[in-house]
Amino acid sequence: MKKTAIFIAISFIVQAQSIQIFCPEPDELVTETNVLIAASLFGLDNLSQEKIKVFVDQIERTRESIIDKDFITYIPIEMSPGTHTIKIIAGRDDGQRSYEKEWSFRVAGEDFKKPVLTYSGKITSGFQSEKSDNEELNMGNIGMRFSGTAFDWIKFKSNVKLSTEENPLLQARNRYFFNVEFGRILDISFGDTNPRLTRFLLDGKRVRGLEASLKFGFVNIQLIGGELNRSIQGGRSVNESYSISRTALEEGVGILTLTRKGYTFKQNLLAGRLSFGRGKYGQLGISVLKVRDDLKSIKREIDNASIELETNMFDSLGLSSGMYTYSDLLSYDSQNNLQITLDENNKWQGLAPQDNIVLSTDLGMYLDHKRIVLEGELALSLLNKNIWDGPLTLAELDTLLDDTTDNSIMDIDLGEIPIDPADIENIFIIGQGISPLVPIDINAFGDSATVDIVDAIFRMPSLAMRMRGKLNYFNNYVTIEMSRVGPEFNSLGNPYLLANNNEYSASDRIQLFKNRLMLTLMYLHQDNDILSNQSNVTTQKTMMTNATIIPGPTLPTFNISYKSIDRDNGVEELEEYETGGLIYYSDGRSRTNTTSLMLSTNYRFSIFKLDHNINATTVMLDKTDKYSDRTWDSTFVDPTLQARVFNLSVNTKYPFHLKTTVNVSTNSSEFSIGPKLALNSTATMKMLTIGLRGEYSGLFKEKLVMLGGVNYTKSVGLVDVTRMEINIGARVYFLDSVSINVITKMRTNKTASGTSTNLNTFANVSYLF
Amino acid sequence: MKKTLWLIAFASFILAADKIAIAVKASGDVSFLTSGTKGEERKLQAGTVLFDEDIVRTGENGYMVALYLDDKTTIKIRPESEFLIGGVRSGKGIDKRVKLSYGAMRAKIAKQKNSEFLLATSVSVASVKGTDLVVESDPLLGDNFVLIEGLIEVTNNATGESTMVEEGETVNSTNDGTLTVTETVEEEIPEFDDDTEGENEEQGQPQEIRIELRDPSGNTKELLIKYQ
Repeated sequence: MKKTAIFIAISFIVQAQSIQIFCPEPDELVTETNVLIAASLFGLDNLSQEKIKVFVDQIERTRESIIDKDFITYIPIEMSPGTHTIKIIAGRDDGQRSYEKEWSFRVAGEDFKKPVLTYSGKITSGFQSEKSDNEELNMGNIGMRFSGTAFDWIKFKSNVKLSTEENPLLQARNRYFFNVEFGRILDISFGDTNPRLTRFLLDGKRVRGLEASLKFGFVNIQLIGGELNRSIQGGRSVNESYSISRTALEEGVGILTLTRKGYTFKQNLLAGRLSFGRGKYGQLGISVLKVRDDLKSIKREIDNASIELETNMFDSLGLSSGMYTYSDLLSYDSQNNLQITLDENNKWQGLAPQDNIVLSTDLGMYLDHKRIVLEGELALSLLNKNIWDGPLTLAELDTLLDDTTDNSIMDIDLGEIPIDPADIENIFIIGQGISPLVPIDINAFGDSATVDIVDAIFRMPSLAMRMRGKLNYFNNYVTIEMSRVGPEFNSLGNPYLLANNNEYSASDRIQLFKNRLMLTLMYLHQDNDILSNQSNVTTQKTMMTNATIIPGPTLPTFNISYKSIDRDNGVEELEEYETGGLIYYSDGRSRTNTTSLMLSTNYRFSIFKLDHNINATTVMLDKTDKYSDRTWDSTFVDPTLQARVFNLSVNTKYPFHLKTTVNVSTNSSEFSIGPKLALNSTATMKMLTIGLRGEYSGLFKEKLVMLGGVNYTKSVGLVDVTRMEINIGARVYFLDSVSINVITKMRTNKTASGTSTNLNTFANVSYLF
Repeated sequence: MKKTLWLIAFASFILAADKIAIAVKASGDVSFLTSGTKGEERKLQAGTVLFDEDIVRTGENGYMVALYLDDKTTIKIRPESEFLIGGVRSGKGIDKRVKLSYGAMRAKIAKQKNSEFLLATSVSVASVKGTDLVVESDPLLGDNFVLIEGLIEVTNNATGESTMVEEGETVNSTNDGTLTVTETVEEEIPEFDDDTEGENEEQGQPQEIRIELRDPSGNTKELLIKYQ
């Protein structure tokens, strides 16, 4: 131990007191003949700048070199192919021995050629077994990644992952991906991709199909085609694919009608974006997305689907209650006065097929090296929530749109309407399920318009828009943003978008003292005030300040964050209603304030050759009701919440291949569980977690790593739980390219209802080629 | 060439305080702004000395590599990037800080003994002791920190939320304050011009194999095997 310490100390001194080679590295093969030779003299004691000499291939080049007390550089005019030697001698003022460094490198000749094909890859496989008191779950996967280049301008990569969870009754778990790039112009991907067109249209949802990008510079095209969902015919369990929609006995004839359910349509997607501009100073894009459920992807008949007949109504006709498959039931059809039929598909109980089209335009302007950013997007969607019946006729439209059958739609004769919905059914199916039926408030049109046309446009329920401006000057990063997503805006390519939402936000991130103090100020307003007839506008206002302090080397970092959220559902008055001559009040008001304060510190330091990283975090959260006149309401459940969280973790790295992590955290909270006036209306939960983890890698020349840990959790209050978790494992490396990782975890849960034990085993193998 | 280098070096000497790094490779469109001067962008060449607060910009085909003078900490900058190189001499070392305004960089940071390496973008900040990482920053989308070796703590400036990132992990830090740690997909790590393995093989230098390992909690680590 002592010897090691002395060796490290000597190494440090020697390293600090030597000339550092910058380039070329020793034995490096340099492909260019125009070579920079550079070395650092930084930190050399008593260096005499006048006594520095540079030799290249034993010829002194001191006069041609740039020599400073911190560095030396020399650029030869041209170096011939072959091996070259550099020697630097740096004399000292104090008469001590000079600093010297000598090394050689090679210059490649003109015949140097890069390999035509380079590739690398990795094969991995994993297995997980989970066993509890009641069930056992086993999962496995195998994956392969492969990438490379050919001819220096073609790049390819692939990723295949096969899982034992793959099941035709679920969305795909396997993943297939292949990508090839031809220079900077063409990029094609096949298989499972997560394409992004614009925020509103398609923003990372998985598509299985093809994605192609053509980049011509000023004009660029992105095309995506494939399926968002694959078809799923139903479920394995009873009544998951069919249910009985009607049973009757009519004139001695038993009628049993089935309906389909539990299916998912194959959802086809076609999308594209045409953009103008390289994106350096700006870009204008026009995008379209088309998603339609494939009606033919769902079978009407699944022979082995299980159906439970619960009624005894047909006993006399030979069909008793019990379990049947679909084909079993059909065999009774037309026998013994039984009529067994399947509902028409437009009456199926399962999801109706949808058709969706979204158009969008976006514009971005980037000025002064992106210090000024202005961007916006406008998107309009149409969604038909039920396309079973196909497009409407003009006559049906006449009835649907203006409620009168007068052979005209909004005073335009049907014969004068140039487009029949049937003509455009390949683009979009205009049918009964379209939402919204009329995308804009018709009261904005005509001489007697009652709504401002501009207001009507921006309040269209199926419109989404956003604008963002950013300024990055004087270490201030100012962002102003707004977005509005109408309640009827739907993009099946981005189903996670929050609809019926207005947002305005402003923030400034200030970087002070050469990035040692970062301040953030942020304000966000959200509401659902989009439609002109919206009552009880729900609003949420969030204010946040944050300071991150990094005082300097060897000092801890600090973070302080404060957030306040005011939420109001817009209901101001109590609702009054009368029952049995008595007047009752209903209180639908909700106005709360939630504040949270977080303090954290992180400190890295070394002591006695141990590297420590300590992190401490505390969070205080308080939620309060802003109404004080609710004491009369015996049904009121107070939304008040108070929580305190503290966490301390210590990571330690020892000088003998050992790493440990100790973690202690506490969490206490108090919250309502019932009406305020009731007894025991509040509950508390207190939780303590203590964990210790270790990793030792000093066995068999670091080819075997042992892992282990223990976690103890105890919570008391509303629910009492004690949990103990022990894990142990190992990683083994061999043949320079194979690794095996095995970990077993045993967890015991003790609650008032008993004790349960869980055993998990994870194993994976990785091979790199 | 030599005259140009002398002019660059001389101009730099009189205008700035601390020499902190030297550019050892520059190709394509690479320019720099010396701290204290206004507006005059100059072409950066191999051999250019960089001073505290110099700003380097790379164009569409620009690429550069700079080494800090004290410990050979290496910064590689990809095309279409802007970064500020900073550092203050402190004893036998340099307290280093860089700010990546946009673009992508790779930093092979030598273990900082009594000094530090502070890496900031417009979205995040990371304090680093000794590591190898790739950073991509886009003022619109946020940052990706890809840890190839070592351990860093990344803090999102919007919320102050911070997370430790280990080898084989990528943290995505966005403008809206989210920090997401995921397993690194090697094929998605941006390439740097001189990262090609073929050249190393030719040089007879140690080859590297990186093996990604995952623990039961989903944490991943990368094993680095070097062989001759």
